[in-house]
Amino acid sequence: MARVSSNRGIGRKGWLYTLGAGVVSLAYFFPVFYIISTAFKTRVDALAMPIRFIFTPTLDNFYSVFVRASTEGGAGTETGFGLYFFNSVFIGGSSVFIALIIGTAAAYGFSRFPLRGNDTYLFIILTTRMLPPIIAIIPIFVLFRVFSLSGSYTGIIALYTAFNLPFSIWMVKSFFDDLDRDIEDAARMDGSSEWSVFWKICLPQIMAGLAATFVFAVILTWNEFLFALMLTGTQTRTVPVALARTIGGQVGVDWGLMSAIETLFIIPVVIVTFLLQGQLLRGVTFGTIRK
Amino acid sequence: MFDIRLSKLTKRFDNDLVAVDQVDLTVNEGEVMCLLGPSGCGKTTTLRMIAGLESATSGDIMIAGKRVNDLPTRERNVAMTFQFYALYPSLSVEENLAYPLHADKMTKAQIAERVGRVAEALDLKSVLQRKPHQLGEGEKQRVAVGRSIVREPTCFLFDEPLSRLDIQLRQTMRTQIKEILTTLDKPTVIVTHDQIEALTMADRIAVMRAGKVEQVATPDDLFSMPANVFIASFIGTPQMNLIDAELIGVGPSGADGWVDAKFRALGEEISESVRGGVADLPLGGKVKLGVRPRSFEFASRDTKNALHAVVDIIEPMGAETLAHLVESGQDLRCVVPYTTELSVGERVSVRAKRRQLHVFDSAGLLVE
Repeated sequence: MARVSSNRGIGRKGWLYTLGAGVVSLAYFFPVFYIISTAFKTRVDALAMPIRFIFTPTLDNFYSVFVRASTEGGAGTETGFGLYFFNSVFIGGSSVFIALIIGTAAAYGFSRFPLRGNDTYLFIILTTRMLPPIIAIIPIFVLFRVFSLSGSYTGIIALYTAFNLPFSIWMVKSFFDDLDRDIEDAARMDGSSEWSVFWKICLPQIMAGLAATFVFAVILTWNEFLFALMLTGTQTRTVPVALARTIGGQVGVDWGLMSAIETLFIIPVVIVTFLLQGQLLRGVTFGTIRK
Repeated sequence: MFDIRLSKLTKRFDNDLVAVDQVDLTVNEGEVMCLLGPSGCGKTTTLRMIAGLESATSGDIMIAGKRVNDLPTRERNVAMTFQFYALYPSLSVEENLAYPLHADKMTKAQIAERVGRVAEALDLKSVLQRKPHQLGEGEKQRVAVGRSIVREPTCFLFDEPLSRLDIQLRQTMRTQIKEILTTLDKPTVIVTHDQIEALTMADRIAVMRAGKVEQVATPDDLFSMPANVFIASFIGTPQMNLIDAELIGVGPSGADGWVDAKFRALGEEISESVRGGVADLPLGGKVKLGVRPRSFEFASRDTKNALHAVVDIIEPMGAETLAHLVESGQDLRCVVPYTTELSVGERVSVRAKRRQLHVFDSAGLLVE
């Protein structure tokens, strides 16, 4: 790649930058690479020191993510990871989706129909994200007990939705704020109802922004561990919790297995980010490239 | 009868700023009215109140004989072209043009027919499938105009329609818009701060300042009879000269309503034929004499009723030359043919052409 660049004459300085960027990228990518390679190692290879970069790859770890070999011989038992992956996707996806819908509506309201004390409300919404979540864990735990929400999808989805809302409202509001208000006025002149102004004129303009908000919220929710640990049950457990539970027991820490789970766990986020990357880039640079 | 009638229209913003103050204005059927004034004079707010994008604090807005103050924008059936075009960025040119028609419950074929007609008229056929960001400024402008004429509204509003175009495009569009407006024959309000735009496109011009309408007149009348010193200096380039003077004598009234009056100005006593109202002013009172730079002509040294001044700066403008003259601390602007030989520091004599001298009283109002 660098050779191509040199043909275009990036010069000595360009070479240095490329080299620097390469080193930084490698440093960032190394842990991911380490995890992925460990996922393909046997137990012996995984524990070997110094780190083995050349080894015979195996898919055993991926197999044992879903089926645990019986210690007494015979058929293995299902680990339930299929369900856990479904849970992560279902809980994360629906909570982000719901938060995005409510957040978009709220953001539009805050942006277009400001109330007296609008900024105060917005600030109050933001304060819910100012405390470390662990402070809220006991009251929320008690609350879940009282309302029998512990271990249910409803409970954890509602909680994640509430967590994602402040972020979604603030981010989407900034996209609405950046829109040219004349365009909405033009739509009103052209006979649009307030609903069409929102639905046909404003919303299409912030699709990139919504995509960016979606990805950020998905990543936040996808990795959440603490509340999932306290509030999900055996049927609603998400991958981060299930992953932690593989530690211990007769085998101790099975690095290969954990790496395999993590590798599988990364894939959905990579896919979402990849699919939305064009939108994402426009989303995060929103406002700066218009006009 | 399609017309727009504003009476005692007032807009007071939350911060107590009175943007529009008791404006009375009638735009007749088929008439093009330009709201002209410096920025912040309330012209755009007035336009937005007619459109329903801004609520009126008090007063009435009547469109086609119906009070529309309380009607939402979409029910007023008014079309508006915005300064920055406000095209729908996610829709193609064709969809932009069709958008206003969806509210009218038209069939697909009817919509296509209308859009086709407008695209034809505005030369947009070749760009119908493009998105607004792929268009040039002139094309955007034409799409914006097209979108406002595609349906049949009761009236048209334009907010600074040409301000974003370069000079050449501006002239073309000016002519094109004027042509379109003539064929549409609907009451039209154009907001502009550019007097050339107003003078060329309007049937009548309403000059606004600080929320009030100062004068409503045809372009010719506005130029030849500016109601006060503000309008006198606002309309016409270069600016009209306003010379401090004292009224020292008035002759007998002529049959045509003009009188000969004597003034003392720039240390000279001059006698000019002016409008008869001067007879009602007190002798010895302060007045301002308004003379357009092109209404001055150079005279020989000993000409009677001439003013004398020293050439200060000479600005060639092509076919004409603008000369700045100075006398007793007063500047005189004077436009003469480029062939006139002038040199800086030279003492010259100028005289207003016959009946091209305006008199403003001590309150700054035109004496008629």
